[in-house]
Formats: sequence, C-alpha cells, structure tokens
Amino acid sequence: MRKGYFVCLIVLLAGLVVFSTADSEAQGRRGGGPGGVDTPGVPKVVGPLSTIMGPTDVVRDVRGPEAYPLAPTTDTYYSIDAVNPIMDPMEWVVDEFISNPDGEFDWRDLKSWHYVPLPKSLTILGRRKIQAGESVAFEATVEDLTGTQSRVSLSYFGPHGRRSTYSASLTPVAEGSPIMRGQLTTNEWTEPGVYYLTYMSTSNESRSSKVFHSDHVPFMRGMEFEVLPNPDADVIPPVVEWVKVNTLNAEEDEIRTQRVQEAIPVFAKVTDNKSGVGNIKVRFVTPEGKFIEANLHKVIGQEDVYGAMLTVPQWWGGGEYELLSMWAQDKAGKTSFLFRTTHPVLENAVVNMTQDDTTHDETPPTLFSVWIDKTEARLGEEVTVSVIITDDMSGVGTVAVNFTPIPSYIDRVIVHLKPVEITGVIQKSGLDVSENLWTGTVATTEWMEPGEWKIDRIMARDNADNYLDLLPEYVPEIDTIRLTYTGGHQLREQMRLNRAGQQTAGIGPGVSQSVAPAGKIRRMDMTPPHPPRGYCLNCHEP
Amino acid sequence: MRRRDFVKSLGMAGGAAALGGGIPPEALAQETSFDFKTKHVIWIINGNGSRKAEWYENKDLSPNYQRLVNEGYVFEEDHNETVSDHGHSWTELLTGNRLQNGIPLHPTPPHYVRKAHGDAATNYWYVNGVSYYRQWRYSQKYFTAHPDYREDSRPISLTATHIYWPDMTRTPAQVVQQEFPDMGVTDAERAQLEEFIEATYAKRYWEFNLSNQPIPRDPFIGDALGLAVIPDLLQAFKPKMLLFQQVGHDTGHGNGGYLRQQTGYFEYEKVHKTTDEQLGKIIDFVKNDPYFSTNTAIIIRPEFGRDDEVNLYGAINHSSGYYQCHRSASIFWGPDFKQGKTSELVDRKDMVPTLTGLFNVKAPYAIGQMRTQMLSEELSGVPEYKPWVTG
Repeated sequence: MRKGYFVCLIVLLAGLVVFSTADSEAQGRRGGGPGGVDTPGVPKVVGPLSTIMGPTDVVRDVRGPEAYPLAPTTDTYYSIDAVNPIMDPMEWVVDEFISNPDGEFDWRDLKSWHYVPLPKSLTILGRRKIQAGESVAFEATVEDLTGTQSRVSLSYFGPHGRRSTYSASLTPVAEGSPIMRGQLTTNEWTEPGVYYLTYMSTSNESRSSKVFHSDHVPFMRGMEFEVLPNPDADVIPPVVEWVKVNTLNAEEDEIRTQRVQEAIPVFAKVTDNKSGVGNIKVRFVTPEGKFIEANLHKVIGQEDVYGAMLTVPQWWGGGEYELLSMWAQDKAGKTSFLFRTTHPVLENAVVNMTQDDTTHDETPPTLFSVWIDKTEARLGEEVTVSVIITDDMSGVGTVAVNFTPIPSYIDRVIVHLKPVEITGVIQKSGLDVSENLWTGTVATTEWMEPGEWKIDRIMARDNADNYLDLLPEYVPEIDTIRLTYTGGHQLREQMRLNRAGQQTAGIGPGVSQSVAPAGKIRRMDMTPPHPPRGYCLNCHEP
Repeated sequence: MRRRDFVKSLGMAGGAAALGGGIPPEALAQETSFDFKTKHVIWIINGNGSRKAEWYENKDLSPNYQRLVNEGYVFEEDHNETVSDHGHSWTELLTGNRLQNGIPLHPTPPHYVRKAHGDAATNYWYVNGVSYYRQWRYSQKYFTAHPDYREDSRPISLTATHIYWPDMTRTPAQVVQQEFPDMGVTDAERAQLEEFIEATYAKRYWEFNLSNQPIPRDPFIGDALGLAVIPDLLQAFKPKMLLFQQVGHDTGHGNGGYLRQQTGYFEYEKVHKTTDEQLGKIIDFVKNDPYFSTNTAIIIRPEFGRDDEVNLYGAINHSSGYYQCHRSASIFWGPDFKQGKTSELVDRKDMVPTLTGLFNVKAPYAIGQMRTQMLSEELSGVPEYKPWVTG
C-alpha cells in the first residue's frame, strides 16, 4: 500500500456507492482545481479518472491517481470494476475507466454520452385487458439532464416467455417534454394470456441510452396487460418442406453447376398453420468466406412455393456455394431458423459455381492518401475528410473513416465517404485523382467531447466484397492525422439548468410521489419440459 | 455405484435440508449412478459471445484449445436458442432453463451438486474476472433465488479484480469477510480462504508474463486475472466444480458504448489469443500435476457465438439467425471422455444436467438432458441421448 492513501469501498443495499479518500496533503496539493468536487459526507477530493456521476449532480471520486495501479509496461491504468455501477443503473451512471497517464481531471471526462434519461414513472393508460389486435397505451416521465430525451421503449414477454414478445415506443408529447406517450399494438394472431414488462430503455438526442429492469425500478412492476382468449392465436412458426438451389423442374437431388455471373435460382416450399408465411431469407457462404443473402417471394402459380434469383457479383470466385442458414417467419412473427449442418432439408442446398478468371477479384482496394481540410474546429462545425483510393478490378464500393477523441475514445463519428468527381487534376503519373477521390463530412455535435481527435479506423470495401481494414496499430501513418475540437456545451452548467427547469415544472424527484404503488411482482413461470421429453414450447398450441 | 449407495453417501446433508423444509438431497440422486473418474470439473465459459470459428475451427489461432480438441470430445453443433440477449443466454446456459425475469430462479450446477453432496462451500467456485459485464455474479442474489437453494448450497464466488490489484489496502480477513459473505463458509474454510488470499496476492498475478498480454483495461485484465488464479484455486481447495465466466469477447461489438477504445474484431481476436495462451497454462498445470492429471475434466462452452462476418465498422455482433451465433461447439476433455467429435445436434440447455450428471446428481429444473456421447466406452449403461427435434 502506498503511504498516505487508502481506498474504502462501501456497497450499500440500495445501490452501489463507492468513494475514496485521500489524505489532507494530497487534497491540498490537488484539491480546488477544476476537478474539485464537493461531495456531501465524503472528503473533498479531486476526481481524476473514473468518476461516478450521481443523479443529484454529485460527482464522486472513485480513486485518486496515485492509487490507480499502472498496467505493467503500459501507460494505462487499471480500473477496478468494483466501482462499476452498471449493476444499479437507476442510481448511478458511470464514467468508465479512461486512460489518462497525466492523472489530471478535466470536465471533458464527463461526457454527454453518460447522461442517460432516468425513468421516473410509468403508467398504463386505459384498458389492461384487450382483444388480440388491439393496443395498450402508456405514459412515462423521464428526467434527462441534457434536456434532449427522445424515446422510451418497453419490451414485453408473453405468457410463455419469449415465444410471444411485443414492444412499445414512447415519444415526448411535445418537444422537450419529459412526458412520453406511446402504445403497443398486438396483431390478430396474438397469443392470449398475461404479458409482462421485461425491461424499459430510455434514450436521448445526445446518443445516450440505458436499459432498466424492474428489480431496480419498483414502479416498473405491476405493468402487466392481458390479451383475452383468442381462437386465432398462432405460436407455431412456418415449416420448410423442401429447398432447391436449382430450377423448379430440376431433379430433386441434382446439384446445379453454373457460372458466377449467372443468377442462382433458389426455391422453397414453406407452409404455415395459421397466419401465413411472412418473410423467408436464405444466406449462402462461399469458399472465399463471403456471404450473400436473399429474400424469397411467393411464386405465382405454385402453391406454398417461394423463390428468388440471387445475383452473385461477377468478381466473386467459384467453388461450392452452400446455403448455410435460412429463416422462415410467419405473419404472427414466429420464426424458424434452419442450418445446413443439422437440418436435412438443406442437405443438398448447394450450387457449384465456376469463376471467370478474367473478372475474379481477390484484391482489396488500395488507399493512397487521407487528409482533413482543417486541423482545428469547433464542435458542430463541419470538417471534410478526403481519401484517394483505388481498386484493381471491381471498383471501390464503400469507404468509411472513423474519428474518435483521445484518450477517452468515448464519442465516435463514422464518416461514410462518397466519390467526388473533379476534373483536370492529376496527382501523379498513372493515377487520375478525378476518378478516385472520395470525401465525407465529420459531423460532430456540441454534446461531444472537445479536445484532440484522431482517426482510429479506415475501412473500405470493393464491389467484390474484399475489405481493406486499416488500424493505427498496424498503419501508424493514419495515426498522425489529428483534429482539435473546441467549444461544445458546458455540460455541468447545462445539467444544473436542466435540473432546475425540470423541478420548476414539477418534474424530477417529486414526480415519483405520484407513482402508483408497485404491484405484485409476477414472474414468468417456466415452461413445461421440452423435446425430446415432450411437446416443444414452440410446437404446441397454448 | 447404485442409487442406494449414492443416497447413503449423501450423509448428513439430507437431514439438515429436510429440516429446512426444502428439497431433500437424496431427491437429487440420479436413478443410475456411475463410477466416474472425474472428481474435478473446470468449465471455462469463454463467454459473452465467442465463435467456434476462432477457438475450434481455426487451429492456428487456437493452439491450446486444439490440445483439448485433439485429446477430447467435441460437440460441433451445440445449439443456442437465443443469441441476441446476454441475460437470456447466460440464464439458459447456467440453469438449463429459459429466461426468468430479473433475479434467476433456478439453481446452477454447483448449487445442485453441493446440495446433493452436502459439501463445504469451497468445493464449488464461480470465478469472475469482473463483477458485472452481463454475466452472473455474486451480487445478484447469489446466482439463484430459488427457496430450496439457499446459503448451504451456494458456491463461492470470486471476482478477481476485487482482490488482485496492486496496492490493495484490505487485509486477507477483510477480503474474505467482504468478498465471500452468505455462502455458508465455515470458520475453518474462512481461515483457509484468508491464507489463500494472502498467498495468492503475493504472487502478483497482475504482472502477466504472456506472449499475448491482456488488453490493459477492464474487463480484459479481470478476465486474465481470473484465468491466472485457477491453478492456485485447484491446488488450495481441490474443488469439485470451478466455473470461470469470461466476458471480454463482447468487445467485438465495437464502439457500442460499453468497452470503448479500439474495440471490434481487432480486440475480440486479442482477447481470444490471450485466453488461448492462458488456457494452455491451465492445461499444463492439470496435465503435469500428479493428482489432477488423472481426475480432472476441462470443459469449454460459451453461452453463444457471434455473427458469421465482421461488419463494415470492424465490429462483430451477435444476432439472431447467424450460424456462428446459434451453433457453438463444446469441448469435453478429461478421464471419462473419449477422443472424437459429433455433428449431432445438442443444445445449450444440456450443459447443466451434463455437468451435474458427472457427479451423479440430477438437475430437476433444467429442461435439457445429460449428454452421454462423449463418455468413454468403459462406462456401460449410460442413458441414451434423445435427439433434439429439428424443424
């Protein structure tokens, strides 16, 4: 133990509260700076790293810089997960460990990213007993320190757990309002019985979201609704009777051989007991490890037969393409998943492809250069990133450049570049820039982190699905491109203002007083035994 | 050994449990019991989503996993009914039953076996690297809220980063008091745990000496600390069951907001390489130890895999419908397992009854079945495994 420092961890039953103390000498040396925090009941300390944000605008230092163990041979500190309050999201929002070898605290470390809207109440409006096909309406209130609350999602499980699920999406009744309303609409094939709220999630415009469970949030209990008996209930997914990777009139076990640039015929007979077949998807894998998917559509004039013609890029290689997996979903939302390795119906679902060597493209794009049009900008100000990139055969398909602030890596902006046509510019002999220039905009918001940003990944794909994946760890050159952002919201001040505003409006802690008493906690019972001992949960009627 | 002998061997635990009004231990005895050589099981749950594409199908990337594969038995098509939700999947893996809302209701393998055998707590361990990254952990009502599986059936739950980091300020006694409460630890065990903490802390696990060093932040450091402590746990307590829950693979999501920094497949692969190397050290320990080499099984099985392909952002998620997500592999290596593999469809829900079955204990709340395909031919009369229905 280092002299003069000790760490005390206290875990309270109601939530995780962790704090540390530093001796008076250390406080005198470090206290009072921008990181100085007045924490009721806890000695005033500087919060250098890994701070915890409480819902009451209190920042608590987890551990002083000297007490952070340094990972051997690195400039990175260990974090101690004991202080990770993800386990009790209602009470605490955590700022996870941030590598910062200089040990200095900066308010930049308090990211908008972490300010999740906290749910304060949830109510079912109107009827709780409905017929299949009807809706249940909800109202929720949230408290969001950024004032940008945008959505509350509710997830319900049915009487047999995840066999029947529904979700509701609630949005503000007016712009900026903490009151959210929305509804959940069942379909006519809905399984009857009691539906239980499994979780709710909140999100805001500053890209923060969090999932909440009733174990931590008492007012989420007692939110059941019931679907009344329904003779049309459909809980059985479709049945795939046969699959052909061939024309319909081909012999049953015939393996088709064709050239890569020709479309692959895929047909399947799929039946459903009640609601009818909805979506069918097939997914092939090639010897090169590439994947191609297609949705099957009803074949006119053929009972229960669905088909598609898969277009394979002409630049792909040959070999045996296998139908690796298949999804079949009915209109009630029940899905069958089939895999070639274990489902006999897919046993012969392969096709032999012969490649055209003159068009076979195995080489990913080549990046020549990347740059940004400015090295300093204010958050929210547009910055243009440009690359010169070429491909030997199929052509460049997509280019994405990721930007992130360092050392926190918390915010991240992925820029999808587009090709730009310019004329008369030749960079060097043999390379016409006008055909190989791609640009995009680094779009930040004022909620993001000011300071130094860098490129942490460039990914490009050619039209043959060959990927170029450049990371600074492997390509140090791209690590040299740095962008300094200034400006942005003063989050702490904004936070205070928002809180004051919400309290004035009657929203905030006081709202919980109006919440109805928590109802009886009801949990899903377990289902009866499962195959091979009995009927499958997914195979018997309720 | 037949049922009657086994029931007799349950000893005093039956009376104690019966007095408590719960399920009596003898009710957990299998109808037929077997003379397994296996006395210790290490289950490495290389979890939070790891693909067999890396740890089973890619021999070059997984030399130590391959050592188990070459000498053990592999279920190549081990089905995961859910793959997109960590909570559902961990629950199903550890209870053999489907999701319960919130607090888990059903017991896990150590609960069943400890209750049936009336053992001391230190015979059963859950080892976590960190306290919570969606896996199960001590603080969630001790893994199960089932009324019949209370303190006297709980395993010890050790969270490595709570203990093994430089400049720890707690004494071993404080560590034991704070880290292992309400687990039915006796005074003698408490003293042994204190000695263990003191001795292992002195080993400075955090000074990893690996070719593939862990990513220097949590939860990766935690995962690596957890793997590092396993040989010492075996030596000190000779536990019947040791379940290690790994969580770092979820960095494959990329910048989903959880693990930060250079996440995605790049770090996922790093986690895998570190795990493989540390697994090798555990295998070396077991193989070279005169005691454990003859009676210890190592089992590998995550809760699910990850998507078939890396996406445009360098991330590899876990989504419904993908083959690598739904179809994990499981490796069984040990004295009672033959060498081989099968592509027969088995299910994640089988893991609990299979593990308890190795101790001749039933898992009545698990809806899977005990796998027997991997058992050596010397064991006769094993029940037939009934194939799962494929749609």
